[in-house]
Amino acid sequence: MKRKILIIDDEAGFTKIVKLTLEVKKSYDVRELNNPAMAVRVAREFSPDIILLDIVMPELDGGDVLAQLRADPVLRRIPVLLVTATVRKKEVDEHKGLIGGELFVAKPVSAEGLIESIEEHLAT
Amino acid sequence: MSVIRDISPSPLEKEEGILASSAIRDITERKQFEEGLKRTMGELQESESRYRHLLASVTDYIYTVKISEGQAVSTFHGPGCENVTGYTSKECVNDTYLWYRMVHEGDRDAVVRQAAMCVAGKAAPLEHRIIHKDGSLRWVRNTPVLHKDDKGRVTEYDGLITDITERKQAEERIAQLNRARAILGGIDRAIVHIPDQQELLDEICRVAVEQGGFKLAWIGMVSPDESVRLVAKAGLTGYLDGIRVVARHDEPEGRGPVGTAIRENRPVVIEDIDSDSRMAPWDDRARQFGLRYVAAFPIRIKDKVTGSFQVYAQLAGFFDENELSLLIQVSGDISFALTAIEETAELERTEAALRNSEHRLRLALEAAQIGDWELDLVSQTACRSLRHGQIFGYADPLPEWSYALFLKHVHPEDRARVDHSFQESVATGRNWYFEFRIIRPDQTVRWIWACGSVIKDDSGQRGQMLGMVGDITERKVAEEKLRESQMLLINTEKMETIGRLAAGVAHEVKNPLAISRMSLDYLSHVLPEVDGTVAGVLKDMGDAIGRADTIIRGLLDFSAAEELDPKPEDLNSVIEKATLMVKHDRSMNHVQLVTNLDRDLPPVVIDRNKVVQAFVNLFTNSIDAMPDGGTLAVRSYFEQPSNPGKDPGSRSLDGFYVDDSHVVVEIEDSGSGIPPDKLSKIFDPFFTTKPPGKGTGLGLTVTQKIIELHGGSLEINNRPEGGIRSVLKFQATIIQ
Repeated sequence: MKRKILIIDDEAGFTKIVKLTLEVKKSYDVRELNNPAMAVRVAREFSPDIILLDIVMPELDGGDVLAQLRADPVLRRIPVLLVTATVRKKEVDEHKGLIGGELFVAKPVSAEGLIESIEEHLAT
Repeated sequence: MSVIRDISPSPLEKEEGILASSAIRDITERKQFEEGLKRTMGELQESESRYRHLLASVTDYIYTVKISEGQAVSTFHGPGCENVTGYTSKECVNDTYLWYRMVHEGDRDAVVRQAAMCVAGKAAPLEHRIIHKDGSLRWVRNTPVLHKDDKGRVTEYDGLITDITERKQAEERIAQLNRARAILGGIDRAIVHIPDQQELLDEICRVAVEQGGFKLAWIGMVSPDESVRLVAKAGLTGYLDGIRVVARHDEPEGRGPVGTAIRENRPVVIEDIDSDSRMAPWDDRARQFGLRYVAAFPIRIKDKVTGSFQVYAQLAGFFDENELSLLIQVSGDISFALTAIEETAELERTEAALRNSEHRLRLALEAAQIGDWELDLVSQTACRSLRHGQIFGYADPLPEWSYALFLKHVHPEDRARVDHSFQESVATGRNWYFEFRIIRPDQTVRWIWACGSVIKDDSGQRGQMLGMVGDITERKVAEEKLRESQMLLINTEKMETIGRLAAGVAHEVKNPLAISRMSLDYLSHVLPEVDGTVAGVLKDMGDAIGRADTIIRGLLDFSAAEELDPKPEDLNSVIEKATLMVKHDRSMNHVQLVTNLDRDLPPVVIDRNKVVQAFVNLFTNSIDAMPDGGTLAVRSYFEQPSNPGKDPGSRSLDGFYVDDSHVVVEIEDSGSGIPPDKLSKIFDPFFTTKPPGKGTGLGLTVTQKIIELHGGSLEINNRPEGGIRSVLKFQATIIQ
């Protein structure tokens, strides 16, 4: 059975190429979501094995989305991999405090790097 | 007019004496005696007749009073009566008490007393006043001559009345003149002996009253509001109480003698207060105090009328012109004295102010720890304060000091400039100010300032230089520290700006990079078997994305001053890595790379990625400066500087001084170089000489920051042959 991956990022160009790459390389079933406000609804409907979540987004940022997911009884156990352009250690530390030890991957990330992180996360 | 000074014994009395002595002569001589008596009586009558005739012929007047039983029984008035009194003798005879009434009221008692004494047998002359029939006052001398019977009783007496009015007037004038002279003398003495202004004014008034015979004397000074203020007085009390006098013309109180004297700077005399309208505001007061005469004299201090001296008398026309001229002289002397006192006081004030100012200056200099000196420009020797010696490092002052000695203390590096500026100041007369270093006897170097001002001597030559000196070592050190901290602050501010900008830019740049990265991986995966070139291009793209990411990461790291991840590295391999990364750009611009790397370099402790970035930046700049080709030369070598004069570990803005050796990398290009006026700005953020779209203006800023983070140095200069030379130095690590 294909692994289902939900990628939430306001950058449509990024979600598109990630979907393409992951689908050709690992045959994941990837769903893109560029509107983080729809996160809970889409996640419930899609039931992903893992969610790739951007942090810096307009209106609703990754932290807010993560809080919504963690507050949802159905979605709370779905692993989340943070994929972020923010690399400053200080900022990451701040967000870590909010998201509680989630794994994170810095943009730009190679396809191999991303797959490795996903697999690692799914395994735990 | 003759003055009768004395009266001889009368012939009558003489004859009586003869008679008395003849009475005891021998009786046989009686006949002879009687004949003689007859003859004598005849002679006596003749003599008496001559006497009366004589008396009648003088202009004076004689009266005769017959006495009986000690009482005056009849009075005979001689023909001169009318001459002296204006009344005929007949008028006198008909009016028994006319003689008494014509005597001046004030002298009547004395006249009555004299008459009583005559009756009692004692005759003494009396000078008194009478009122002439025409109303005028006359002075007369009344000289009585007694006639006695054989028992010594006064039977009658004659009075010789002589008009002495003119003599009296002359005497009075002399007395007044003497008084005026006494005032002049007394005041001149006071002027010589009394240095205090108030005491002098008091004494002047006292002299005027006590020696000058004035009833009142006072001195008034003009106040700023033009009222006249009483400052000294003597004599009559009460007259001046509440009196108002001003110097203005527009008020009656200003048109009196005092106001006029002050305003018009001339003496003003009121001969008779009773009949002078100028005294209207005060004439009631003057009448009450019996004052008839006033003269006011202006007092000038330094040629400016400041007040007035005035004297009052009870007689109208008290002084004539001669006396007035003496008083004018007095007022001139007073003015002179007051001017002298004022000038002395002014001089004293000036001297006191000078002393005070000198004292304050001395205190100020001491408080500011400033030394002062005076240099004789001719002899070149100087006197100076204790502090001056201390500044130059002498607890006890040297016995002598000179310009040459001073120059010896000046730091050799500063000496020529100090001497030049000093000589220039002496030559031009302009003030001298200089900050320089000195070397104290204990060899410590101090920063001092010195200033001086050329003073000309009486002949207009530049004779002296007065100056001050102070130690500013602490200030100089503080200034240096301040400058450093300001530079640090400026740099910090720059970095913060870059940091904020970088953080904002990073997210926006990293997303496109992430897309590119992923796209590249996708393409690599989906493309069928590719040839070497395509594979190379794909790899270069991957490297470029990696480099772009590194730049962003480096910029963020740099702005956030993140800790380095230093490891011992071979700097040559870092250089080679960097040259590889610019290989594409280099070949695009046909730039030839010439490397001359020392293979025996000791390792340097660096963050490899960051230093690679630094080199990439420098190489990229050089390549961009050679769009039409050129040479990029990179050389590395090991250097062991020996600089024992500097403290190990100390740093300056343009370099650093270390105890151990370092690794140097020189990068040279044959490009366009940097315009000299831009050279100082090349490390500023966002400064670029590249065309728009080509450079970010951050390359050298980041590079310099990276090198600084490593404790290294970076110098960039134009080469004389063209292009630029960058010299990087890293501290070498000695592996034990």
